[in-house]
Amino acid sequence: MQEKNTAVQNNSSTEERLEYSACFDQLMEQIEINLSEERFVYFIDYKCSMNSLGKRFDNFTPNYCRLLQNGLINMKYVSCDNKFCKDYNNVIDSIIKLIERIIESLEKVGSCSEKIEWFRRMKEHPAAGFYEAIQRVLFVNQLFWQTGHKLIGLGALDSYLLEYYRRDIDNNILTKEDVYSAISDVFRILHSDYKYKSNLLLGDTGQIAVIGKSNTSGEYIYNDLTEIVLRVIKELNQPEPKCVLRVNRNIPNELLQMALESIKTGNGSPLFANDERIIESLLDFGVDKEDAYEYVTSACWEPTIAGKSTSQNNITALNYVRALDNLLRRERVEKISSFEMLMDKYCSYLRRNIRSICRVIGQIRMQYDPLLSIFMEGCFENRKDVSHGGAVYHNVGITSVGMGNLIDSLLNIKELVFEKEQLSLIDVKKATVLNYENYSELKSDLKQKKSAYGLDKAEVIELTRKISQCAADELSQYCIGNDSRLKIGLSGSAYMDAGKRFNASFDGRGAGQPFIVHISNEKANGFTEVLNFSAQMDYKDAQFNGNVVDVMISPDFIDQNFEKMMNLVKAAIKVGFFEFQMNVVSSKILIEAKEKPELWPGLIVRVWGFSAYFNDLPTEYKNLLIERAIANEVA
Amino acid sequence: MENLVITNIQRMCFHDGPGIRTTIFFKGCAIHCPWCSNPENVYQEGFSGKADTIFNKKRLVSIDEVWNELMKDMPYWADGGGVTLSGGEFLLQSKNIRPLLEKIKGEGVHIAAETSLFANINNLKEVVDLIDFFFVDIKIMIPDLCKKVLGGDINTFLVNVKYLYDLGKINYFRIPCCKEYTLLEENVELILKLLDIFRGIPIQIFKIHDLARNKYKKMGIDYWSHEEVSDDDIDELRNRLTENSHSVEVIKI
Repeated sequence: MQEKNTAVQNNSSTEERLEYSACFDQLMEQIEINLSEERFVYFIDYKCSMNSLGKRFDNFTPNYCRLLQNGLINMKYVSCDNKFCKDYNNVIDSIIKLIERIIESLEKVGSCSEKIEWFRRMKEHPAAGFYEAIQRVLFVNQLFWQTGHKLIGLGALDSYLLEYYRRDIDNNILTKEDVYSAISDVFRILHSDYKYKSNLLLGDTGQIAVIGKSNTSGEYIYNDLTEIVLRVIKELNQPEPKCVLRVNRNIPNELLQMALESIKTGNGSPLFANDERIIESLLDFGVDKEDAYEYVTSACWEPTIAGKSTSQNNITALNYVRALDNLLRRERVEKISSFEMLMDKYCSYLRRNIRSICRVIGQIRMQYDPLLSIFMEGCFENRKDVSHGGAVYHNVGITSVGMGNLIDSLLNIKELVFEKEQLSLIDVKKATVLNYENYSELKSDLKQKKSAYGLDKAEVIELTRKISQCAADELSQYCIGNDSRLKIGLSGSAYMDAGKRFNASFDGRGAGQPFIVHISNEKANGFTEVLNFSAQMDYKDAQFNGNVVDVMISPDFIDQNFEKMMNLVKAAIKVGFFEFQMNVVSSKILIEAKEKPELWPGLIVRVWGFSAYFNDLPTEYKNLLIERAIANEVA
Repeated sequence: MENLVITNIQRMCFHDGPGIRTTIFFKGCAIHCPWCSNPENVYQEGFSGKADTIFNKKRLVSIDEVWNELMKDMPYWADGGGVTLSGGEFLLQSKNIRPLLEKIKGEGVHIAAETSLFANINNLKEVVDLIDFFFVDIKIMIPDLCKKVLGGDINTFLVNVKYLYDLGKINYFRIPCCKEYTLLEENVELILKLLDIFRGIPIQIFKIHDLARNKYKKMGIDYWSHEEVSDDDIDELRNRLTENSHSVEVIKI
């Protein structure tokens, strides 16, 4: 089949809208069905996809429950009074065609009666058993990858599969070990296509399973499936899928122990998401209470609502250093007579930059997407496509880079220019604009200084909060489209790419060098310092779009201090970090793997919100990880 | 009043007592072990006039300043953690330290101490009631070698050990293992004799390491070269201690 590249406009005429469903239909008719020996059917025909005009929806978790609780035919509109509804129904019909093709292929293979029955039942019946439920999840998942979407989350597996698990266990249809085996198979299947699924870097797939949660009384809620997922993640020891473990102060020790056992293998999972900070920030943003308690995360770690939110949480990155760079280049800096004046001007430029970003975001037109609309609550009810704001939540998320470099730069300016008067702002301007040409000694001195960002010192916390609040306040002035609000976070994926394209900063960072990674400081006085810093940030006012404390730990450290690491995490939950991930690496191994990758084919590292094979990473990422690992070990 | 001389307050310490701890490193020591991994803590006034390196800088701090730093990690001290006094030798500043310990105890915080016990017994008596947990180092027991190498009077140590043991306050003995001194046969025999008198205390043994080499270099002090301690050396000592019915743990510091 030829690759499809049919242009479809959204917000467009009748004729053009039907083109989407015709294109989708053709895709369903012609993609190659590839049946393997695996327990479940899952295939993506890499040769085929579909595109349309506009920006594609990515970075979401579809409402798997729709197909778990309904047959496809029952999901259709009974009567269609607008074109969206017609397309909606047409897409469902096309999916059914694909199902019939799959059944036909299975019948040809033979001895697949169970799988045939699963697919047959998808047309008109809800799922009955655990395996059948898993097959439906995989089927929905593959539809989105097949249609060119990226960063498709798995959502709260241990929640939406629970009733099927319990039913089969209570009726002695399955044992726990059967379920363990099935989940292992699913995770291996999802891992197998990771190269195709990768977004910016290999491993950046967004396939995240979010497990564990809290109820409104603050109790910690988990079940057998939560434990099984953690066991599988640990045993398979592969970068896909990723896992986020929601935590609160009442998390049982046994579960935390399982999580640390997995983390210490180096596979990067799970990341800890602290319900005690995240839920309140979602509620503050206006998320419905029931939804807030069921949050998952999108591609990296941005809290979102599965099956109800098409919020594009990683639409762009705000570079906090840019406003300082703008100020230094455009202002008559000799007239800036105090640090307070500098800060006022900085905030002014920051607001200006945010306005520019919002203007650009406002120009984005999202793709018409009836397939996603089927699996996104709100669209059916409102009879609106996701591109028209049909989903319950459709906000916009910005990540950020450079906050750490900015804070260090500002504090260096405060000390050297305004307090000790050793330099002028003109020196600062020259040094950064000219990439430290003729200022090599200054650069060296600044580089050797301990970074202040991430330290729980009052001045650092206050300055970070002030700038973050300035950004949040400005963002709150804008809506994208009719009602999409903006949110922001302190961690982001663009630390390397944005750094490559940016000038020097007044913390010793040269032009083109990476920005500080997320919320981190390898020279902090223990992880507790950075965790405390994180806990003292304000995550309300839409400042919840990912705020990850990222630490480097040597491989033996957790093993040799297991109980104390558990105590550390438990205490840190109460102290109130937002999100926390551990990169378990040894500089010695990383250096060896860089020089002789064949010795370490399975070495996994944490990059941003995902784990990846170290050997898959570009050199600059490897170098940065080695640098950070060394800094951690020396400290 | 700034009357405590320290070099550092290290947070998130996992090897300085029960639970997660914050350790205060006091500057100044009565002895000078060649294998010391904190040489910056040995001389209170700096070393050989080389006061311009970071490792010769001391911090004169007040109790409030120390307390403000300590309490940042208070949430992490649940499950038995707390504050550890280390150095150098904190006993040399007992009088000035006592008010700090009273403040810490007043908050119900657990206090541990790492000491070589080479200090006047009155210094020990000054603070012993406020300290919950003691690590006591056993190093060179051969009197003239102790004097020559460490600069310490072994009798001072013995008097203090007895005093502390009789109070039931020693939680661990720690033995740094180096082939040139502490693992000498004569020294091991004397250690065994000591432990025979002061029985029932678990023992931690560990290899000395070279991680502080750069510190010595930056301080302008010749680094003491030593033979590598093998796993067999450690096993041998452990076996001898075990044969004498002592509880032994090999640790890494």
